Amino acid sequence: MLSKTVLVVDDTAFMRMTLKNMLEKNGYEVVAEGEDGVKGVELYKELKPSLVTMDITMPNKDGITAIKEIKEHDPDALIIVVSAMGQKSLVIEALNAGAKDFVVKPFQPDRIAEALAKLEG
Amino acid sequence: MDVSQYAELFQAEAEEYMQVLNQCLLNLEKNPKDTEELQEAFRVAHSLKGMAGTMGYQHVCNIAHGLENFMEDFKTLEREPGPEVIDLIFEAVDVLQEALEQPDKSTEGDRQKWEQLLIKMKKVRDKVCNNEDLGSPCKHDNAGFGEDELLLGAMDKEILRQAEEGGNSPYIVNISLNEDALMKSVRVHMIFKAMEEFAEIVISDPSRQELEEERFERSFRVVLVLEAGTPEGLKEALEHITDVERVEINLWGTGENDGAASAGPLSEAESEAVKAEDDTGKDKVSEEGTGVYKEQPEKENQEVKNTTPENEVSEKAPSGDQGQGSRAADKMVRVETQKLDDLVNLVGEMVVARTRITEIGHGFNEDLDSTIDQLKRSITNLQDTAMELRMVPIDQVFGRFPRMVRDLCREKGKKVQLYISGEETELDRSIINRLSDPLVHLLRNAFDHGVESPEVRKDKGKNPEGSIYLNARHEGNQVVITVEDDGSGIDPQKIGSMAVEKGVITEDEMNQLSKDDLISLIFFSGFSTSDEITDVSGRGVGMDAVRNSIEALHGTVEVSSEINVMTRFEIRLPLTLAIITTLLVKSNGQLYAIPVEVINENVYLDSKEIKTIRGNPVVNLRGEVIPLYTLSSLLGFEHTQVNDEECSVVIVEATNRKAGFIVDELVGQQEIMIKSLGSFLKGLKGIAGATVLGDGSVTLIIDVAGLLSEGRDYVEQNSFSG
Repeated sequence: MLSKTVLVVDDTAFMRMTLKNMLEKNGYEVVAEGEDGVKGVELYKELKPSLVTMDITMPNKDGITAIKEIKEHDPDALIIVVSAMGQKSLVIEALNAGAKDFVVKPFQPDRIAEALAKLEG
Repeated sequence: MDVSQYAELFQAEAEEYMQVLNQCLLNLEKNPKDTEELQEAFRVAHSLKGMAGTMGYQHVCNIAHGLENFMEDFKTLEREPGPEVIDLIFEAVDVLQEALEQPDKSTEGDRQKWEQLLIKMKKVRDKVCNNEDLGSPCKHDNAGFGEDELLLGAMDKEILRQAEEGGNSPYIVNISLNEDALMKSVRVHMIFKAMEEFAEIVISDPSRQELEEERFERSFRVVLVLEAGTPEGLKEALEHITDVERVEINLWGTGENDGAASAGPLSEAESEAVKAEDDTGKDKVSEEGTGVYKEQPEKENQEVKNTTPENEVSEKAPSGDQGQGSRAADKMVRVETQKLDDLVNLVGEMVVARTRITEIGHGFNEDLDSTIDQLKRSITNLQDTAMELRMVPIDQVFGRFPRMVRDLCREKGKKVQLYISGEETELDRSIINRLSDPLVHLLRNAFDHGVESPEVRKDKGKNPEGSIYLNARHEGNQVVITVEDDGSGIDPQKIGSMAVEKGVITEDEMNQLSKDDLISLIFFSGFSTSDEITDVSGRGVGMDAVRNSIEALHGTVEVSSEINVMTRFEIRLPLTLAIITTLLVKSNGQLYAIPVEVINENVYLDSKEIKTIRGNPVVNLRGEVIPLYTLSSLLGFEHTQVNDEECSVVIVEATNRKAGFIVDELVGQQEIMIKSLGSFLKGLKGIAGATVLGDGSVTLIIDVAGLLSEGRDYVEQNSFSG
């Protein structure tokens, strides 16, 4: 199976690294990392990854706006929201904006793998 | 699983449920059309059944189940439960209450009593079913358990009916989430969104709102009408959502044509089967997979019987009932009251130490000062929080009264409506516990002596239905509770003559007393205002008992009345008993603490202002003549004469009486922790307790109400007999 390409968008380097490690362990290839919504949208247009993980609260452009813009550009984009606990309404907003699924920080590693597996299936 | 450790929690929660149940029935009695009340009562019975089942209290479980089914029949038939039905439900609730007293022990007699009631219930139900419903059988005569428990409103039924007419099939979807699912409400949102692509959602259990507020454990059920795609397609879509562990879709069965008559809610077999009822759905999932879209009641019943109690406990976890329990558990923790008391005691010690350390440490070092300030703030906050922990809504007491008044109405043939307000008002738990008896007494008095019989009321041109108002509210640092009735009122002349007759006052005094003072005489022992004595009140326990219990709580009770209009009792209580604010005064060289609640004002009097009436010192304060006492001599100490030009007087008021305490010095205001004097010195009149001050010295707390009644004797001795 060809490894799937992933774009990780998160404003903290720590989260980007954690996500990257987890994704790579599960056979994904992290092709790029964006530290805010602006960068995230740019990188998506440039690289067309098969999957995006998107943080919600980020400087310059928040995750929800980024999701909307990516979805506008590519309605088939597959985006997973990465959210902190207690952001329920934001997650719902992100889902309504077109995100396919969400995971909650702090991660349970197998939870991410499971979510990804479900998305692919 | 050992469930005995939950016995206490069960009791506490069951008690709350019983109160809700009673309340629902009372409301239902008033408004039999209110399906919501019936639904709530049904839900409570259902929850109790589940709880009792988990605890292994079979008898309780059976009763709750019978009650639940009985109510459900009326709910399903949309029959208004008449008085006969509601009486039976009340009776069943009483049997349930009895069973709850010793839930783990039920005697043969208990069971027989319940069975007899069941037979009665069955008769009434059959009458309603057969005579009035044109032969359509009662639901429980042939329906199984499970999906039909969903509480459908008329609207929902209409949707289902239309769907069936239109050829669309209604389905019931059971969904379980992973145990460790996070943000369940968002998952619910995703699940509903996915379902909406296929179907119109009719109802969910728990409700969608509850689900979105995460008030569920793991599983929920949704009834929907499939409009696009297949159930298989819907199942697949739902299973693709992260954290969805299990999806089961079944055709929504009406239950009416499924045959397989089990003998109804009242049969033994079903009663026995109750335990496993909630789990039948889940059992099916694990045992039959997901390919079954039509339920087979016969098979279901067999499964039910095979379910062992062990299964029941472990399988119960994901069910809706359990969810309710843990919903409350998420926000609430039940704590032994002893622990709370200990905590408040410790905090009390800290409050005292705070005062002491402030005195010692002040000005010693700047850093120390600021640390002490910080410590003081924290202790103050801690004190407030600890106090709040002990606060419980007064509803715990009020909640019993509607049922009491209803039963009294039935018994005595009076019509009385009880209006309760302010039941959310919070009060220290220790006060609440001791408030019940005096309130019961006041209410019974209002019922018995206050509100007239319907005939008398009609003759007086009043509404034949009497009203009693029970209200609680906060007023500053106090809680005010009023009990008011619109009955015959209290006749001051009658009270006056009675008091003279009983030798409480002389005829002269009676003529001098104001109307309010005369009415207040009912607080002296041996009064009953009704001509006839009934077994409700008038048992010799008079209003003096009420006043004594209220005063023991550092409260006051006052009465006001208009003949043929109303009688109102107003109880004022401190928010808490443990820590009170007092004024420290010095009298004859000794420090005393007077609770500020009873202090009206402090005044400095010129000795020329002190007059005497019949040899007793009084002061004319803004037109009001107030008797004066030297505090230490009131307490029985040798009084050393103070010849100051000016003296400090604390004007106090308790039990409707004012007095001035002459003291040597006003020392200052202080919060103190009340300590009892111990059994040896208990009952010392005029002394409410003792406290340890910041400097470690012990000070007596003055019981002003007690002292004033002493003062009265003192005055009487000096003016009338002496």
